[in-house]
Amino acid sequence: MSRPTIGKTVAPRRLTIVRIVRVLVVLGAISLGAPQAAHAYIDPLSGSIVFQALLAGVLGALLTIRRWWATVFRFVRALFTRVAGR
Amino acid sequence: MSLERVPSSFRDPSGFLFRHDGVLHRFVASSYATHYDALMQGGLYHELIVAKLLVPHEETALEDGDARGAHRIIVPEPLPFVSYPYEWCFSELKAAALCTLEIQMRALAQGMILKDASAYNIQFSRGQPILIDTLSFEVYREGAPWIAYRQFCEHFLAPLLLMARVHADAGRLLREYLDGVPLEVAAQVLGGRALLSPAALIHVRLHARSIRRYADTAAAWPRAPRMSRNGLTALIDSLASAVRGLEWRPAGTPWADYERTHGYTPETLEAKRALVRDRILAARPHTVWDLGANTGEFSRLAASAGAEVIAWDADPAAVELNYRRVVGERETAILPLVMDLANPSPPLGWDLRERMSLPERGPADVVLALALVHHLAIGHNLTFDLIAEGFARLGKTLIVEYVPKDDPQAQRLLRSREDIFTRYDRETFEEAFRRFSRVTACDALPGSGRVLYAMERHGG
Repeated sequence: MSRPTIGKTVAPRRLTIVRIVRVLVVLGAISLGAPQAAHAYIDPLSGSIVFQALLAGVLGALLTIRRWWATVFRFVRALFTRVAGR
Repeated sequence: MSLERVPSSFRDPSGFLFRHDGVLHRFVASSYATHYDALMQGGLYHELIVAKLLVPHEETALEDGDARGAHRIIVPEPLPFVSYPYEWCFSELKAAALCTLEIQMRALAQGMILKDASAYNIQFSRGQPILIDTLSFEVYREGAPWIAYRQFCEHFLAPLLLMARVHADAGRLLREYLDGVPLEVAAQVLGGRALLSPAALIHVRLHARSIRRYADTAAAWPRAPRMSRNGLTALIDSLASAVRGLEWRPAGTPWADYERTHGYTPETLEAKRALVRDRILAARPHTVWDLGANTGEFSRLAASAGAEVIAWDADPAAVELNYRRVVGERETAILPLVMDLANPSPPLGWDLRERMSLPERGPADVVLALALVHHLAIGHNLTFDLIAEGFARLGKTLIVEYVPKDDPQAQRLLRSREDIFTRYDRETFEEAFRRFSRVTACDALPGSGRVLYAMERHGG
């Protein structure tokens, strides 16, 4: 299907180390941030929203770092290209 | 006059579906006005229509009883057929998931967000998945989480993971779990496999754990968590990467390989093709249901005759191969779906009226049942009477292939079981079908003992 693809904000190469960091950070955040609870009336959404907020925080930060890194990389490459061009 | 409300349309306070003079309408409640107007006037509706991601609609005036008080009444473009997620093969569910995420990303870019991510909001139209619920959008509030994240995981990601990593038949769980496969269940079934996949670990296992921890309302988070737009984008991106990364290779099942192993001589097969084509053309059908369609060889004959074809098969691998061909060749008239005809889709949901059974979605103009009756009769002990009655319920014209008991394929079914089928003969077959239909043509397939029947059911 000729659909525009989504997910262009994340670099196409899936770096294993980034994935591992993601998983570890999310694991840690969930383990530290969530109190144990007894079950009474079931609330189907709170857990999902709390988890999502933590996850989005981690993924969003990684995304920001990656964009920042890409900017630095482009800047350095442009610098060297200019130097080599002289 | 009150509106004839569609029974499945009760969950969303933003509006509901109803029929008026047989035409499907959607009531847009005044409480939803802000969101509807933002969708229509902000450019998102136009963008999604151009991209063929949302069903188009027209606004109409309907001053009729309960329609008064609506913000708008809209008439969505009719769908050729309503299918359900538990009838989709792996790649159909995957395409529907990616369609949902694509819409979500486009909505976010236009300042809106999907308030739900139900797989039932997606339908296949002309070979492509589209969103059919125009009222799924809300104006995005900065900092708000995606309320449908869990629903997306349960309707799409969890079943896709189970199909890819455990068994392709796991899609059938959606028939049991109408609100999606609970993440707790998916995590348990995935077991240790969840540790090998970041998507399964994060979006299913850890997500399920968090849901369990906060299941008690007393343990609610002290304040509603905020999410940056950047974080939300990254979350959607992560889901899209997870879905795109899932693959399932259909191979090795008896039916996926059937076209290579069916045992027809080239002459018999050619004669069968010609006869089936003639019988279909004579019926001039708009809709054809090809039962036991396998990878869709005869479905394509029906499609070439101008019909919209639903190609049913019980084998997810055969349906998967068929769908891949539909996508690869950009076919628009064939929808392959998974269903075991001996246990077809029942009515489901509240009061058994939320999801329609197979017969409720018919009848088709033509039912094709080629090389099928021996499976139903010998494989499932169904009598010819029951088969004839069932077929007549599904289609007006029946094109049915009779396979004699001494046929090699029928003998294969009998190889490991006692032959209790003393009434399996052509005379009994004809007698049974004549009870429910009129035989209009009957042709022997040369080089085999098989016979192709064309029949019109009594009463049209």
